[in-house]
Amino acid sequence: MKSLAFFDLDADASIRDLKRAYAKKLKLTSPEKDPAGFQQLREMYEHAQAFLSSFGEAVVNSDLAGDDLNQEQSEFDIDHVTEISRYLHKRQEQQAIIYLNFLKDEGILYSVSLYQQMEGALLQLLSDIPEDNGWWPEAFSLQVIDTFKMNERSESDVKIQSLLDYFYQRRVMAINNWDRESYEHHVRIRENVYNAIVDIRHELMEEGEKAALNRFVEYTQDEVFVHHDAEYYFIDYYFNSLNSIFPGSYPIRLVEEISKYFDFSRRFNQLSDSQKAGYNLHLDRMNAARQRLRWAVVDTPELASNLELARAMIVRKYELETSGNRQRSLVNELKAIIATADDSCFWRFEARSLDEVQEFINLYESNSFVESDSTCETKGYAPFSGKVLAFIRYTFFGQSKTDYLLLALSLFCILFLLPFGHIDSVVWGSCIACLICSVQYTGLRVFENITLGILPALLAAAPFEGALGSNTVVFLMLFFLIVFNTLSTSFERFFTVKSELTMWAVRIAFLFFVFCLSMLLLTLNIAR
Amino acid sequence: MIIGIDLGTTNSLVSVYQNGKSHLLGNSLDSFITPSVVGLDDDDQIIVGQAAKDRLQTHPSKTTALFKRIMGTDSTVRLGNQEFKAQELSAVILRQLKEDAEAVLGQEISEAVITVPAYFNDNQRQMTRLAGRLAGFKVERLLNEPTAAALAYGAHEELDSQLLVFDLGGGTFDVSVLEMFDGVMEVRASAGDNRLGGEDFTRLIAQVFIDNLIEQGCSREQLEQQYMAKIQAESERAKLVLSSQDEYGLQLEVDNRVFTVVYSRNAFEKDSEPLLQRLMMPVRQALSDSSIRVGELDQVLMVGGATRMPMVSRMVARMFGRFPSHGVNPDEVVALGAAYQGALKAQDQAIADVVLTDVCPFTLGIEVVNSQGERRIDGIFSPIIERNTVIPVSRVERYFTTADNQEVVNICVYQGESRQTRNNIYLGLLEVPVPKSPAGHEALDVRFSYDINGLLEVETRVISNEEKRSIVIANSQKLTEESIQESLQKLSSLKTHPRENSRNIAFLSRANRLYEQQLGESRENIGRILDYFHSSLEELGQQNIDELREKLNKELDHFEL
Repeated sequence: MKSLAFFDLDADASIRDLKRAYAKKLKLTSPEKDPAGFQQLREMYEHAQAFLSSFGEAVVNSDLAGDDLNQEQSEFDIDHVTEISRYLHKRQEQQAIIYLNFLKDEGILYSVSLYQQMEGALLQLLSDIPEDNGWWPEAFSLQVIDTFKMNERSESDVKIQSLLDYFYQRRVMAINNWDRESYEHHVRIRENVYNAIVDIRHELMEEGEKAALNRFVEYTQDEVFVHHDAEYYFIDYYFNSLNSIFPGSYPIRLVEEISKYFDFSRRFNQLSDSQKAGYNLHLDRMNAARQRLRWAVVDTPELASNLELARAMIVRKYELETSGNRQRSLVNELKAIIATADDSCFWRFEARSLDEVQEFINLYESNSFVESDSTCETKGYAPFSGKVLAFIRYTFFGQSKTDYLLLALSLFCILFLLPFGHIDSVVWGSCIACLICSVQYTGLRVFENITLGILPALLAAAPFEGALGSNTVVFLMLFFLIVFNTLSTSFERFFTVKSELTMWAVRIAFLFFVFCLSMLLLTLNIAR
Repeated sequence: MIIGIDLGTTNSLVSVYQNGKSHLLGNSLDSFITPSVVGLDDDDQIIVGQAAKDRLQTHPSKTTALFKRIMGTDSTVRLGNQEFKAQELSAVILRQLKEDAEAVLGQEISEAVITVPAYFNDNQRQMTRLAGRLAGFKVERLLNEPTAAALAYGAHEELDSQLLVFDLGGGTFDVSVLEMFDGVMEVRASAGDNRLGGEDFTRLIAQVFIDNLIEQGCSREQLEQQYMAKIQAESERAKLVLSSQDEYGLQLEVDNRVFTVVYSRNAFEKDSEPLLQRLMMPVRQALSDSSIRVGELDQVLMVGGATRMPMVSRMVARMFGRFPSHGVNPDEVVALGAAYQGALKAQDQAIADVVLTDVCPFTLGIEVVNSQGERRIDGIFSPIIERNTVIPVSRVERYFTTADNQEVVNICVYQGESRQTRNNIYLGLLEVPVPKSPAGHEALDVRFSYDINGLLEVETRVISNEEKRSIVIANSQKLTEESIQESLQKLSSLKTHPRENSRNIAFLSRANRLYEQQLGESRENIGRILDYFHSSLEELGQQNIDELREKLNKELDHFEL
């Protein structure tokens, strides 16, 4: 023994000898001045101590000493334990509990040594109950756990943790009348189910909902859930830990598939109370997820500009009852937008998958959207200030490329081409193209577009009529038309104008604005 | 010369080892006990100790106590128009103690042993050490309070013995089990609760008091905003009185109406039951970790002012089946032990043959990911130094990367007993770059070195390229040199009274407090004493003032409740 040799001791030395030798050496290697030397000394000391104790000498000694001192208490204690053991033996669980409570009330358990002895003895009693007779004093064991505060202590004590686990096993075995073998069989099933759930969750977090759904279907085909207990475990775990399986939002398609497979609604009556609570949570979260789906796009800037655009177009379509032809083209455009958005960003924005966005579109294609909009609004999903911001953002940054192109083109024409004389054919051609785009885009009728644009343009250009010719009029007309349309459509889109009347009121207001602008131009011209 | 300081939650003491014995050193008011209270007076000069304690009631917004409870956290205390951290306030106390010690010993003192609760965590220890530095000390050792108590108690005893120190102080509770043999004092185990102390009992009384006042028609807002300091003081008094008497009438004057709440000892003991229950767990844990049986204990040593409460002694008696030892003064023993440790450190000839070994009271480790096949479980605590390991200690564990092409390993250091790191205390982070390779191919040795002062150093070594990195955990706690300098500057900018004035200030604070506490005729009398003293201050010389003050102080004694 290296460690004993370190202290110049033989194998038959006593613990006391070791301590003496240790103390002598310790005074030469102080922990303050020579930490490394001390650590080595300490290691040797602990090693030697363990070695000597393993011969049993120290343990026996200290046990005897302890018993001498506590003999009176110990006898007292052993009496209690035999009493309890007698009750348990006769399966008089209630009596045992009463007796334990009596001990507690007497304050016997305040004594640290009695407490430890009683705890040890009672736990031993419980562990000694044979596994094969299918009986387990459930209430009594809970009482013991409570009395010795084992749940609190299990946090920091592995031994207690494993004891609690064992009690739990016994309880399950007793309830189901299983022997150890069938218990272990069930544990395996439960582990499979648990692993399956963890896998599905993992898939969901890493790859998205579709992959998770595939994984679930795969497991159902592998018959992991077929066993009666497997179903039970799945439902139990599912309802009791919904929030940890699906943190954040609820993946609707996956959840619906699971609900369908296990047929939750039919089972409702068979569920335990905690499972029922879980079931209600499940319904709540599902509804919330559906609701949020509709509004997710409003909260997410990049997506919102595209999807919101799409939404506005469809809203328009219904309000103005345009022809089937245009309706189709709008839906196509919407689909194109969706095709460019990637799956992961929908996951992040809580509108889980592309299919769900399709559902979202379907929602708008049915007539229910006006109603749902207003209910959501009263619930405060989309605050007014948010709308103002979105409006500003949309007006200046959110336009489609065509719009920018048109604006740029008309400005270019007015500022640069005009001074160089007549270029009629090019100009007229591009004008008509612009008009068509504008009409297509805003959903307004051609007539409206022309009236709305032409009036201020004529007014503004009147003084130039003789000097510059009709081209100027047409250009100005288009310019105003586009400015006006841009403003009014984005306004309507973000402030959800619903009735035809208000819409026209808004338009007239803008018209008035443009009119003022033209009058300003007019006065400037006259002044010149 | 190294002095010993007991920096307590409610009171602080200073002592020194001379002529083969530890002595407490008195402060300028000739008292050994300096309350851990700091305040500002009307000219924003700093006031410390008893004077500040008296002003706690009269000027609650400019005085503060119990700041040891927020040591090591980011909380600050507002005094007048300045924010202070706990370490800065502690430094003010330490500075005062240093001056007092220097005045008594007649020489400059720059080294000290400061005691901390055994269950203080790494942050709290670091901040205590910083407080010492801010006060101008070279902190020689941070000594655990129960260990200090055991040193003071048992260092002279030649016999082999095993003892348990039960230390219930103002704000913390510690239990240590020690073994003494052949001049070795070995701490076998420490456990505790650093959020449990005598203040919790005071708070409990205050709560009962407030509830009763509300029943009698006071408004909660008013009580909490204006009268909190008075309620606290009255509850504190009730706690002390109930240790010797069967009941006490708590009084409070609200809007010229006097409310009285009678609180009996029985009711107090019944209400305290949950607090008493919390005393049991650390005792059991310390005993079971030390693998010493109750019957083998030779002595149960009661330390800390709160152990004076009869119900605490009774509880201890019930737990151990014997009466605890009251042979030492529970308030003073810790400071005496600190001085003893200072002498050990300085190698005083008389005591050179005693060696003390202490333990690390909590488990230290890092956060790891457990991979089981494809599954990964995050946030698992992997212990490196187990609790109640003898210190200094240095342990190594090897860990592996968990992801392919991982570039950095984050070593998050935690302290605590739970398997989940989220239940433990976060101490610091060390980022270690590793060469890219498949998961599990890069190994990393993590070495924890826990030194004798309870400070932790973490060192990592990447096996493949032998690259080493290390941090002393304390340095990661935003403890930059700048912030220390800032604190130092803040403290040096605080004005202090000249030392010879301290008695007058203490007298005035006391008189003012009594004036507010008393009513009617007594109040007028105190007022007269105050006026008289004020007018005499300008006329009389130093010698005469001292005499007068002593006389008036005696008169004030009559008004103390």
